[in-house]
Amino acid sequence: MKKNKLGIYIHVPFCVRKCAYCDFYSLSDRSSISLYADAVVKQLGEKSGEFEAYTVDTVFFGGGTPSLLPPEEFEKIASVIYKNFDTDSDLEFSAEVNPATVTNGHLDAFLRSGVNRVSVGMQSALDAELRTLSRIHTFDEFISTYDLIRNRGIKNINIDLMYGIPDQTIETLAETLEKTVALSPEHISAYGLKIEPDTYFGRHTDEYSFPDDDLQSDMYLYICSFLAEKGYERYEFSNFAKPGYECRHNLKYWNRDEYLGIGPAAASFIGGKRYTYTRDLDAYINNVQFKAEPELEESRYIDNEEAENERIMLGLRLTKGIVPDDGLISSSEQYIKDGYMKYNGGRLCFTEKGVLVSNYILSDLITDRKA
Amino acid sequence: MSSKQELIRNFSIIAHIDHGKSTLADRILEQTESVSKREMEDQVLDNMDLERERGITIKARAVKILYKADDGQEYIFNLIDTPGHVDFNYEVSRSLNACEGALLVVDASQGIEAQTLANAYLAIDAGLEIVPVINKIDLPAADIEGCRKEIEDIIGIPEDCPAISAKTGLNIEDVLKKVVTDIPAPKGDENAPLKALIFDSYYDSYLGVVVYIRVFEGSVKAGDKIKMMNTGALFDVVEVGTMGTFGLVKTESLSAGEVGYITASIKNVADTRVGDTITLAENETESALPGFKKALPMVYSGIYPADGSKYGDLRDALEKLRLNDASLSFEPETSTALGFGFRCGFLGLLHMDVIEERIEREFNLDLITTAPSVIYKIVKRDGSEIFIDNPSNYPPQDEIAEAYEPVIKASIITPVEFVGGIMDLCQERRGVFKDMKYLDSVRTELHYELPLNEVIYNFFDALKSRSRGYASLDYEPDGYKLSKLVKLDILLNGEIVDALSFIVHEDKAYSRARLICEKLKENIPRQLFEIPIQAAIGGKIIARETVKALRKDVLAKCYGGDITRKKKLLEKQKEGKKKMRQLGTVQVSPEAFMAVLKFDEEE
Repeated sequence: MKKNKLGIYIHVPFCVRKCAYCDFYSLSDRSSISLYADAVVKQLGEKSGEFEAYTVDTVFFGGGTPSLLPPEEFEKIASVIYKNFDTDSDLEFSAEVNPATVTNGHLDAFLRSGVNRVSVGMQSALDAELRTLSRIHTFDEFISTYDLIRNRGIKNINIDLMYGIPDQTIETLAETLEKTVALSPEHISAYGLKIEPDTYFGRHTDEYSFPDDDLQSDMYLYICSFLAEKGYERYEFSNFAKPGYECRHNLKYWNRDEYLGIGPAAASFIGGKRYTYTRDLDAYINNVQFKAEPELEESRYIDNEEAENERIMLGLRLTKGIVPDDGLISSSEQYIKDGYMKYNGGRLCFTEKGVLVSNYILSDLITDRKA
Repeated sequence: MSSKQELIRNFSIIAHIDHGKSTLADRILEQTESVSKREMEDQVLDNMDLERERGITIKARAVKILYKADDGQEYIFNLIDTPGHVDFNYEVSRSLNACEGALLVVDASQGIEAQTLANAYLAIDAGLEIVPVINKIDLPAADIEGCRKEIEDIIGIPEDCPAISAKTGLNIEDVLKKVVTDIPAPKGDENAPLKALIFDSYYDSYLGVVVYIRVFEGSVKAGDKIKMMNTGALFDVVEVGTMGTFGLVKTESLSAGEVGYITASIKNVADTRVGDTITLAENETESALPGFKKALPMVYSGIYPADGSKYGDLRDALEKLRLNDASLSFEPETSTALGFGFRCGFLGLLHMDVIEERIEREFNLDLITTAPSVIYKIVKRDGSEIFIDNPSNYPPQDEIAEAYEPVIKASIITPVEFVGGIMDLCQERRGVFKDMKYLDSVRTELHYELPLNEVIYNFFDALKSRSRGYASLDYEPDGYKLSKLVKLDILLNGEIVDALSFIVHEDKAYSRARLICEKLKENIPRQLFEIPIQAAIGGKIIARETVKALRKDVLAKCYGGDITRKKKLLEKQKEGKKKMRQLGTVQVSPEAFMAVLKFDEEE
């Protein structure tokens, strides 16, 4: 019998300190890190029963900073996955790390656990910009971490970049890009900085000079053409890869494939149902240890109409686009005429100009739901 | 004088906003056991939600209270509530005229403020005995002695006013005693022909119009044929009675000194104008009570449903509101930008705000309203004379021989130190100085002739801000004056948006045009194409702004597969777009529309 595929996401909610732009769930108090690891191990064991019909083909340790997990805790969690779930022989196993937190010990654990893809948060090659973002590392420290990972034999490395940093210019962005491609990573993510209300930048917006929309647009287009020239294909709005190195785990999100999220604030999509755990580490640990299920922030079954809207909003993030139905064919007509969208074979997708205003357009393309 | 009248006290409570008028009314009702604590719905007198939220009373209400005094006598207190805003000054003055006295509530932590003064003078003008009450003495910042001194110095009422806390109920009994001892009993001739003042009315679907009256002379009972002396309307009285705490209480008759209600199968509140005098048709009193004025709309505005399909609902809402509000007028109009709606006439800007808010709240309708306008008089070259309350009907400039605008006689009372700033304001608003007199060592009264269309644009707010809230304004219409008027059109993407056109004095056209264009620019979201915003007089463009095309919106990360936020964002954006009004090729949200119209020249 052919089994369903499953991605597993482990949210590791610890950071050395919070970056100025970040509103993901992470804590700088690491005192409960082993309690957390125990809870994850327990929950994975319990959950596995529901997934006997599945083969796990991607695992992703994200955060937070997964490299803050002591190597033995990392290994313990990974081994529970292998022990309790059926895993694919072609498993993509990603771990996110931050520079200056990775040791040889981590890489030993990664390699023993089958990690074959590492994602490094670099964000910028300029120390001034790194300081502005309140990153914990310098560019040199990033290079050391990168070299360590490469030298220990990881053949698929992603580098995270950021544009729209205060005082960033096309010139400094170009410098970051040059230095990035010089390292030949297999994959590059480039996200625009978004000012979230509950962040340092959100509370101190006035104190910084953020690039305006026009400059940010220019930056995005610059990144796209620069990386295209260097052989990186943009396969999603903000993700670029050498051929064959697209992140299979992240593709699950955009293709609406199933994934199981473990850890506080983790999101899951299983059997047509989406649910998210609350952003509360203590509650997560307690509930896993003493109750059946962690508390849910949200949980809902996605009906056909909402599924179609999801297919539009998620699928159109991909460069290959989606096969449009009649409604979408007609609602996208004007945008095609104006150069914001195009057909790629039989599939509808955004042009780069369209990517920049995709929210504006998507809100027209999705259908009204009576919520 | 009969002993019956000796036991009656008719009074109002007047105060600056938030000084505790309604709370004091509640405590009086409680203390006299007119309502038990358990029954006490907070602030029985203000029974419209809107009033409670804004902390102002819009419609006057009245209630009869029985009070057993220390002398063993049972007194009848008629407490008449008053609305508190310059738009309703006339209504306030009529309510005060129904009383012999007023409790003037002053916040012990704030002291005397603009409305305290304005209301105090209204009451003094009406010949009322004023009983100051110092409230909120439970507050840490309360300064009872300072407050007492202020009352003595500024209003000129000495001595021992009660110091209370309406909130905690402290010393309320002192207030009740003062009402008995200090407020005069009414002294009307019960045997004279009927003379009664209408101070309020409302429509009830069973009784018809319920008319609140104060009888000054004579008496009235069911079956009497009555005459409204100013409108001339005749009715047969069906029922008379008094206002109980929880509703109307039918009585045999109402006689001199008493406050109560009349029903007479009256279908239309317009027949029962506030300030009119009621007498008996067969035995008329010699003269009507002075001070009657017909409420005329001064300000006009187009009101449209935000959702075009709700036009019928809007009409129903306006009709229901007019049942209770004779000063509201409306007739259908259409706009190419906004569709079907109504041209509505209001007493003033607050009246307009209140009506709009009541429609939105009580009838659950979202509205778009156009810039308020006054009525202009145009003499055309062919000699014909027309009145224009809607800029859309303004004739082309070359057809106009003379244009006239309405002016008002404004009286502004202010502490002396703000005179300079207020004179500057009146100057900026094209006012003509008439005279100035010192009321006493601290206060001055200024008289100006002001164009009404300058007053309806935030004049009141500007006055308050330039006098730290102390100046008060009263005005009356003073006919028409020759003026240099132009019609200003606003174009979006090259097309005139009729609902944004307005009439303005030539000297103000450029600055107003620039301001509107800037406001529009701030409020029109960037769209996928560039949008020119232009202001024009006739064919001549006098101001221009551009909304640049949208190049980028937020590319949020869907981290860890959490797509909920992104989904909500798009749905919200979609919701927002649905509410957009298509003005030509440009989409504008109702909020943006309103922001443009409610601009503040003080900025």
